Order: sequence, then structure tokens, then C-alpha cells
Amino acid sequence: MSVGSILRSFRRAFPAFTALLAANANACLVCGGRCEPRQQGHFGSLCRTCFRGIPWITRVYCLICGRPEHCPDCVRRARAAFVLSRSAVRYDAAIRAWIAQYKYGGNEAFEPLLGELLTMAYRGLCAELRLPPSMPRRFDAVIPVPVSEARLLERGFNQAERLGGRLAESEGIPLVDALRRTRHSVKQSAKTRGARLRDTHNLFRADSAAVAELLHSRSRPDSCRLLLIDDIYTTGSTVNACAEALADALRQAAPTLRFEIYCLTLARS
Amino acid sequence: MKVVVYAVAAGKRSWAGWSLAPEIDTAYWLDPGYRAEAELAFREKGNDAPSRVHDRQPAAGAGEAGEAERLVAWTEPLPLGHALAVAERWPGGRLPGRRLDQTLSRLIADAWAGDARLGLPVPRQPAAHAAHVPRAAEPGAGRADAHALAARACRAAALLQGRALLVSEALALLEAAGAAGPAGAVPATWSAWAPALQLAALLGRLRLGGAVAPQPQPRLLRWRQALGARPRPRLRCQRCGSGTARMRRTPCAACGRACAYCEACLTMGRSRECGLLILGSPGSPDAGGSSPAVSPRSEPIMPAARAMPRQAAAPDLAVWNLSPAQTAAASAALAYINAPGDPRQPRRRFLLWAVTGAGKTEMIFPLIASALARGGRALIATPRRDVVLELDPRIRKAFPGAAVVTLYGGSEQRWEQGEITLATTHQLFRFREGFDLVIVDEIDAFPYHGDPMLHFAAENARTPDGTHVLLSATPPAALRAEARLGRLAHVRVPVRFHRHPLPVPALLSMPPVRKLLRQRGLPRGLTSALGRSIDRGAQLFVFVQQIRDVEPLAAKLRRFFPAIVIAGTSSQDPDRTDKVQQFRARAIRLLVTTTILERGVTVPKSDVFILDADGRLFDEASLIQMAGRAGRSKDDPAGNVYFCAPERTRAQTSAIAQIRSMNRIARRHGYLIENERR
Repeated sequence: MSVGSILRSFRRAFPAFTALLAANANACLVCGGRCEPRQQGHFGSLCRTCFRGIPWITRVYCLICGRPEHCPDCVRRARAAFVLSRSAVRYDAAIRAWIAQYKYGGNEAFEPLLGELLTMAYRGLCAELRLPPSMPRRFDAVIPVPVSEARLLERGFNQAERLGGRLAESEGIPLVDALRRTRHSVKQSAKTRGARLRDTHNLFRADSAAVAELLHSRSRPDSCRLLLIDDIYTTGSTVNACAEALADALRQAAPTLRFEIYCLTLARS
Repeated sequence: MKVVVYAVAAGKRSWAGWSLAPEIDTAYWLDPGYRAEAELAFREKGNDAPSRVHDRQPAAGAGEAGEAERLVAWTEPLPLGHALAVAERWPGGRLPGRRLDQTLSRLIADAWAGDARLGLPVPRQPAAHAAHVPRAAEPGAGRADAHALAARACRAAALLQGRALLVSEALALLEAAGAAGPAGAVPATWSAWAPALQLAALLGRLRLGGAVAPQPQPRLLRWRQALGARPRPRLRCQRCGSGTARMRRTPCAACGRACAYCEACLTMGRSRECGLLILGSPGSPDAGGSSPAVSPRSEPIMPAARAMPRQAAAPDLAVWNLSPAQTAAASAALAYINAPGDPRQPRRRFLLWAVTGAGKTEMIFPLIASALARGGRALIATPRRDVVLELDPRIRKAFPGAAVVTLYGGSEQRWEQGEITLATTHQLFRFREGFDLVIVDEIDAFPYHGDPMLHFAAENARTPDGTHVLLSATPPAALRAEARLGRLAHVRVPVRFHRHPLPVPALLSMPPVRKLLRQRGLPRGLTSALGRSIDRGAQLFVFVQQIRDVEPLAAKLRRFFPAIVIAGTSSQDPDRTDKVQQFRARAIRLLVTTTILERGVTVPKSDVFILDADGRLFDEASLIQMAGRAGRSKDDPAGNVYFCAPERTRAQTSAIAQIRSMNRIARRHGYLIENERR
């Protein structure tokens, strides 16, 4: 190890030291100083109270979209391009505030926390699909739902890509940014169900180079299992449109390939 | 965001700049006709916009150094952070021919190398180089454009004057103002406004910079850089003043680099290294070349009001109908404000230390009036939103002719400009050098007290020769010490507006509230004191330390005093405003509450009970404030105040001592009514 590399690793570690010295180093990420000290629960950055408040989805009602109650959307949808979708938590006021802080407020300190939530959802999905942890490459690729170029410049990051990237890294799955948004649309959260369904038609297309890379890197020759990542599942129109675009591209590039597209989102509203 | 970096050589000088709209910069530097046209248009328009502009050259430091001989631009846009570093580190001096290109290439390579040294990922660079930008084929072709653009730049500069805004905020402001002009042809998009803002910056009417930017090297250490030492970037949020400890570096899609953002002021919109902060104040005089004093008086841009001497406004305090103590304090403050600035004392601060119920608001009216009479703008800031809302009608009534803007989170008037601005202290982040008079009320209240960000914002909201007036009934110890040592100009108002002494708290020995709640009864001392207050028809404040004790205590008191309506409220109570209203209206007679009601609430004929007065959360200031809820009205000037606690603490004794000493001073100055009777 050269002197230079030692120095470099010191420099890399330095922000961690300064973080330790910062005033509220062990304050809860969500409620700040309001939590009792020494009550750090799981999830590193959360205090016990906030951790207990996480509205986990422990039992799904709709087997397609993973909604914890009756779901009219999946019945209405003629055929979905994805096999099934699962979410980590219900989209309640607390989760809404966390995601808003991260996405719109740009508070990237929430990223590890949300990444962990997604990882929990991933574990749940694997257990449900009976994919044992010993199995190599349970999924062939993690594919984030893209945001438009304008949004990316404004926000500085794509939340689905960041969260997917964390999952991909911890689980050893390649992250493939295979989808593109063809036009800039109004925020989904500002639209009604009908408008969402109409607007998402042809909103995404798959990038052929990325699809080729994806096909090249797959582990099994005849089949392929893909995981789409997004932050919030509301009507499922976004992930469905993404899955359709992806499916079209895969059918074109490798007509004989059997593939399954699963979706994983942070919150189910 | 990414910007274009360029370097210019002109005679003996050279400089580096960066641009949001490079075509404007090239025309400005390479085509003297364009520049003259823009300046002319600006001067014509300049009259209607009040500004201390010294019609000087841009902050970029070009001056009238003569014709730009050569301009080279980097072919790829660079992250704003690097662009700032290049401009900052530019050596200046004469750089003929290719040496200009080489210096630019070297500094840009240095900037990326700096990232690598910090251990940040450096993206693969597209092949880029410094390219010579030729002069326009036919000089003067863009004259008409220059005129139109300068007019828009001027309008933008006037609207953004005194502000410190992020790009999204500036666009919202320009849109709200309908700044596109009567035709409304230009929507408030960034691409439409960038050229105008860039031109305004070139003309020195705005300052553009990174929202998070490296601190300039201290002058004493500049020799190290001259010797070739690597710059050590110490980032600072230019909006809230936070340092490296509050920065977080994340990969940024907008600039393609791991750039830092400020976590401290995140709630006010994200301030980041590659994000622009638009300052609506002219560059500092030394950046422009010569001081404004040298420039001829006849200059049309200098509005007459600004040039007026400070003494011009003759204060006539009689119209404000103040008490003797208030008049004395207001005239002391006015004398300080109107005195010519002391160059050795750049921080013009004045502390108005007025007891609770002294009528602080009335005392600031003459100060505001004098600022307005000089043609200046006044700001009244307070940490609490409810206080802002309460102040609003009073200010509007006192100054019916003035444009009043009230700002708080979610305010409708967010982007308006007025002569008097009322704001929560957090809103001050959006202002820079905008006010001649900055009054900060309740300086010892949360969240202003102990928050260096808010102090930074308040300090920067005033113009360089403006005055900062601090108001408090309980100034923090540091300020009291400064006042005592004569380092801080101040005046004390030791008496209430009704000229009766402050009620002196009585000590009542009693077990802690936690224990009371477990017991069956209540101590005799407490019940009889409460009973006496109820019988005399007073409104009762009962303060406790913790929110969780509010409801149980209210329930317990209801059992003992079933004849009256008792309620409890805290910061977590959604009906808080409603309950306070009912309490004022005497529908509720006894209100159990926490420190949220310790200040800003005036209820006629009230008595105050502070339980657990020895608790950690009740410091001296807090005790004085709570005690100050009693005896505020003219009809019932002598309320009762009780400190109920098992122990007597330093906070309690010094609070009582401070109240007593204020009464003593008032008596000595003959401010009390009882003196007159004698």
C-alpha cells in the first residue's frame, strides 16, 4: 500500500469522522432531537418510535399488485406486462413525508433508509417466490423506472435508480438503466387515475444498447428474470408501461427467450 | 448546472469568467458597440429602479481595461463548482497568445484533479479544449437585441434587488411579477431568463455565484497559493453560512460530478455547489474598480433619496403617543440610527432591551418611519409565525400609506416587494443587503436563539450601511455582557407602557408535577393560591414543563375547581389557536400549557402559575417571559406570579432579581406612576 493510497483512504474516511463530531450525530433522522437518547433501534438512522411506526405490508390481498386490501385496478386491467408487484410499506402520511423529503426536498440522507426498506421488500419477494438466498442470481437485472431529463436536471438524481442501485449492490445483481422516458410529463401525483392511464401510453421506450447488454449478461440461456424498481405504486400504470416497453424490446431482440418481469416498489398507496 | 468557462485577455490584464449564456458574454466582451448599447439602455432604465449601483464595470473585474484582444472558451460546459474555482484561481496579469489557452486548460485540469485527490469519482471527460472565439463578422449586428435584452435585464435586476434566491425561486419571482413585460410573450423559463440575468451580472447589477462555494482564501494565506500550493476548498453555504460540517456530497446528475449540498438550510430549498445563487445586490465597491464616492454626483442612476444625508429625517416622536420611557428609548435608537456610521464598527447593531409588556412594537414605529422617510426599506423579523401574523394588522394600521409585505412559510406575498417587510426569521435567507433597517424581535426565542444560520441571514439582510436593531425582554447573557462592557449600543426600557411596576414572582414550595399527579390531593398552598386568583376573577396561566403532563394536570384541576372551564394546550394540539382565543374571551378560565405560550400572548387580567419552576427547560429568560404574562393591562396592572417548585434554583432567583432591578431602575428614572403620586 503506497503512501498515496493510505492518504486517500484517510480522506475518504474523514467525512465519517466529522459526521461523528456533528451536533446531532445520533439524533433520529426523522424526528430529530425529539427521541429519547440511547433508543436507537434497527435501521441505524431511526429511533425506536419511528421504526415502530413503519407501516409494513405483511400480508397482501391482491396477489398481482401486492395491495394489502381489495384492489379494483388489477381486476380492470386486461393483461399486465409484469408478473406481480410487491411493495415494502403502505403509503401513509409518514412514508409520504419521507419520500417527499427525499424526492422533492432533496434530503439525500433519507436514501440509506429508503434503500433498506426496499431491501426488505426484496427479501419478502424472494421468500414468496421461493428463491432461496443460496440461489445464484435470483434476478438477472435491476431496472429502475426512469425520470425525464428535465426532472433529472432539476432534482439532480433519479430516486428509482438510486434505490435500485443500493439494492443491486447489496444483492449482487447488475443494475441496468434500460429504459428511457420519451417525453416530459406532469408529475404523476398531480393526476387522476384516468389521466395517468392515458398519459403513460408509450411514455417509455427501451434503450436497445442497454437491452443487448442485459441479454448478454444473463446467467441462464433460455430464461431471464427482471426486476423493475420504482418508489410508489399507485395505479400501476407507470410500472406496467415500463414493463410493456421492456417486453417489446426483449421480444424483438431475442424472440425465443422466456422472461418474467417483476416489480418492486417502496410504497403501495 | 453546467456553465461555459472562458478567459479573456485585454492589454495588461486577463480574467476568467463563466456564463449561463455564453453568446451574451462573447458579444459583451468582443463587440464594444454591443456593450455600449447595453450600458446605455441600462442607464436609461436605471432611473426607475432604486439601487446603489455605482455604474461601474462588472464584478468580473474587467473595468475599462480596454478592448478585449482575445477570448477563448472551453468547448464543454463545466460543473458550476469547477467554473467558480477556475475564476477564483485565475492569476490575472498579462497572458498573451496561447498562454491564455494553456492557463485555462491547466486550471480546469487542476479542478478535476482536486476532485480525484478528495477521493471523489471523476467521470470520464469528453475531449475538450480551449477554443478561440472569433469576433462577430459584422460588429454591431446585435444592437437592437442588446437594447431589448438590457431592458429585460434591468427589469429582472430591479425585481431581484435585495434578494438572495436559488434559480427556482428567482423564476417563481419573475413569473409572479409578470416580468415578461406587457406582452407577456416570455414565459418564466430558465432558457428565456438566463441571458437577461447574465447581462445584468455583466453590467454589475446582480451577482451570480454558487449557492455552496469555496470560502475565499484568507488574505494572510494567499502567499501559499502564489507559491503554487494547492487550494484547499473549504465549502460554505452562501445562503445560510454553514460550513463543511453541514455539507453532504452526492453524485449529481445536473453537473455530472459529486457535488456538495447544504443540509442545514434544506427546508428552504436545496442549496448546492452546482446550483446558482442570485444575489440582487451590486458587487462590492472594490470589485468594480473605484469607490462610488468618486463617481460624479450627476449620475442619473443614483436616486436622490439615497444621496440624502442621514439627518434629513427630523424625528417627531409626539405623533406616536408614547410613554416617557418609550419616547426616551425610541429617541436613543433614532440617534444611533441617524448618526453617521463609524468605519471601525462595521456591524451597526443596537439592542433595545425592553421589559415584557413595555410596548416594543410602538417603539419601533418611529424607527420604521425614519427609515421610510429616507427612502429606505425596513424589515421586521421574528422567529415565530404567530407573532408575524399578530404584528401584521398593527403595522398596516400604523403605516396606512406604505406597502407592507408579510412573509412566512406558505405566504401569498412571497415574491412581492414592499417598503415594510414583516417576516419570520427563516425568510431572511431569501434576502441579501435588501434593507436599511432590520429589526429582529424576540432575539432570544427559539429557533433564532442559538441558530448561527439565522444570525447569518439576519446579519446579511441589511445593507452595508443599514442598522440592525435587536429587540428583547430577556437578551441572552452574551449580549448583556457586550452591552455592559460598552461594545454594544443599547437602551433599556425598564417599565411597562402603563407605568406600573412588573409583578414580582412569589416562591411557592411544592412537590414536582409528576409526583402531584400520582397523589390524590393537591398541596394546600397551591389550591388556595389558585382559589384566590379565581375568586378575584383573573384568567389563570398554568405552565408545566412537559407536554405529557398537560392533560393529566388539567383533568386533576377540573376535579378541584369544577365551577370554571379548564383546558390544556401544547404545541401538539391542533386546536391551540382556538383555545387561546377562548381563553382571551374568558370562555376558558384556566389554561394549562407549556412554553409555547411563554411569549407573544397578551390576556388582560391574568395570573401566572409556573409549576416545576426548577426544571431544566425553564431558564431565567423563560421564567421572566412567563412571569411577564401577568399584569399586562392598564386595568389590572398588578397580577400575581408564582414560581412553584420543590427547590429554589439559580434561574428562579436571578429571574426575580432581574425583575426587581428593572423595577428599581424605573423608579429611579421616575417612570412609575406611583412616583408622581408622591
